[in-house]
Amino acid sequence: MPGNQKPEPFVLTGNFDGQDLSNDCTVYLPENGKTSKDDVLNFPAFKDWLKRLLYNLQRQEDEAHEFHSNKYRLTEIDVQAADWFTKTRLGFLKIQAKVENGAGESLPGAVFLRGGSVGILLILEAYDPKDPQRRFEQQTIVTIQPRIASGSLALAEIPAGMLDGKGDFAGKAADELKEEVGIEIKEDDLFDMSKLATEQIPTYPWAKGKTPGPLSESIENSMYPSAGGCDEFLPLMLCQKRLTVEHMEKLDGKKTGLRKEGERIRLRLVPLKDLWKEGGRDAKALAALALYESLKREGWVPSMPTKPDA
Amino acid sequence: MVPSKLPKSFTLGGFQDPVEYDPKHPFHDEPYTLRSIEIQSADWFGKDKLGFVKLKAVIRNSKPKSDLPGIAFLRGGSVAMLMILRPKDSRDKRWVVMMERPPVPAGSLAFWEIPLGMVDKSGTFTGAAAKEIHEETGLKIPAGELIDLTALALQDSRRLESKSLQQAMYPSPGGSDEFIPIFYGRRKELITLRVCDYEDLWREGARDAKTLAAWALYEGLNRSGVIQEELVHRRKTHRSQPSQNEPDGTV
Repeated sequence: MPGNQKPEPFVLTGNFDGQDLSNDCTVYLPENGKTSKDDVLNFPAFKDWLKRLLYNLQRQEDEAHEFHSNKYRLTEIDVQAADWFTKTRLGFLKIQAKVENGAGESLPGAVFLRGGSVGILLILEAYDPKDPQRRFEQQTIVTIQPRIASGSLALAEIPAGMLDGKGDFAGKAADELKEEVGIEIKEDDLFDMSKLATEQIPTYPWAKGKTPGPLSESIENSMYPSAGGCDEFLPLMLCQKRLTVEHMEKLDGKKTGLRKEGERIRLRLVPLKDLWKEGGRDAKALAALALYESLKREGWVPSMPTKPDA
Repeated sequence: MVPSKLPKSFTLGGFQDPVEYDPKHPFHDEPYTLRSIEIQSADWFGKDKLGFVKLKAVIRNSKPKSDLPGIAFLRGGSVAMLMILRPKDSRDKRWVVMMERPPVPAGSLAFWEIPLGMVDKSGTFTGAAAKEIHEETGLKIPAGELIDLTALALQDSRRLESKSLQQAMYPSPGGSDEFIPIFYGRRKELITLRVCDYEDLWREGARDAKTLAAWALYEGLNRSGVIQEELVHRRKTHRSQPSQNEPDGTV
């Protein structure tokens, strides 16, 4: 990009990545000129968000839709700021979308765009090879790391991260779990609680007073931490593992993350029954507990393994 | 863009916790310091009220490449309300007051969730959801009638830094400062038709963090008898107690 010129806006028209636009939409780029049209249009979180919004706006064409008589239109997207993780990988966009209807009513349009991630409720139970039938109190793992946005250096959360190309848990928490605890969470270890809870529950904007009809929206089968301000969604997954008594005891006494220089993420064992208090500030911890307990009560949750991984 | 320095007289209320001076603190040997803040964008509600600020903070210690992830989407706190209705003639059935709103960030026009709002200076639940409840039912909900579930759940927390964090749920602590105390209230009448059967709440509200969080806190506190204790305590004192930890939010 030529140095820091104020970039020209561009117009989205016709269709966007296969999704119809019912009207043109002007897109403004950040004034510092460091983010181009292609950067924005190729950002996966932007594409996913825009396609979904356009699809759901199009549901308004149906007579039974709550907003049919006064449809909302997306007319502008102002990309205010971009955060790059590396020189070539865009991390976050902050945008202001203009979504308004013919009566001059507009929807709050500030969006912090970052895409999805994943949260893991990791339940561990000890295993005594000399007494394999014996059950122990179930524990869970919380991460403690600096969270600048909330102003904290030590807020307890359940592990969060990404699923890599193979569907295995990846990211800083995953690395720490592997290095310090010897646990790797693979695709087969994961039970998607959010998907099970939500896939039969569509969101549908039916006209007030009428019974729900077939107008279901496109929406993730995941948890949205803050749908009013951020596109972020996390499927909450369960992983259950047995560790030998010896391994658990080592874990309990250990302060992980302090061995390496500058290591900033630490892990702690918390009894599962106390997670709602010890992890009580973390939305994902509370949400995962809600899903786990409810699904367990209905008999959906797979049993705890009878022994540690080979 | 002209950078400015904070004046020496600038203080942050409440942040006197000298955690970094604790020799047992994990970062004591190489403390992190805040070097700079770049305000990247601001969103205004009308002409006078700043709504959201997006910033990038540079926070590092003396070692190279030690920068902490410094992006923050600032929006302050709000409050969520788990309002349970138990009409007298309905035996054990409980209903939960719900809201449906169109959150553009989720790309949805019909997101189902428990009411979200603010607590104003008089201690009353306010905001779009509260306005709708008032329009439908004539009801205003003073915060004093509500029980702060997050404060009750966190009161025993021995965690480091508990004092400098809000007694609230943080939806996304890695990216935003947003914090949400969750209040519980109950009424004996069916005040609105926009309700969810309590037994279905965890499923119907499973996409919404605060709905699931409210369920988890309510269940935990209910089972351990803490809510009952609190209700008994309030009846004894014969007056509404203002909730201790609501944020100083203004509409």
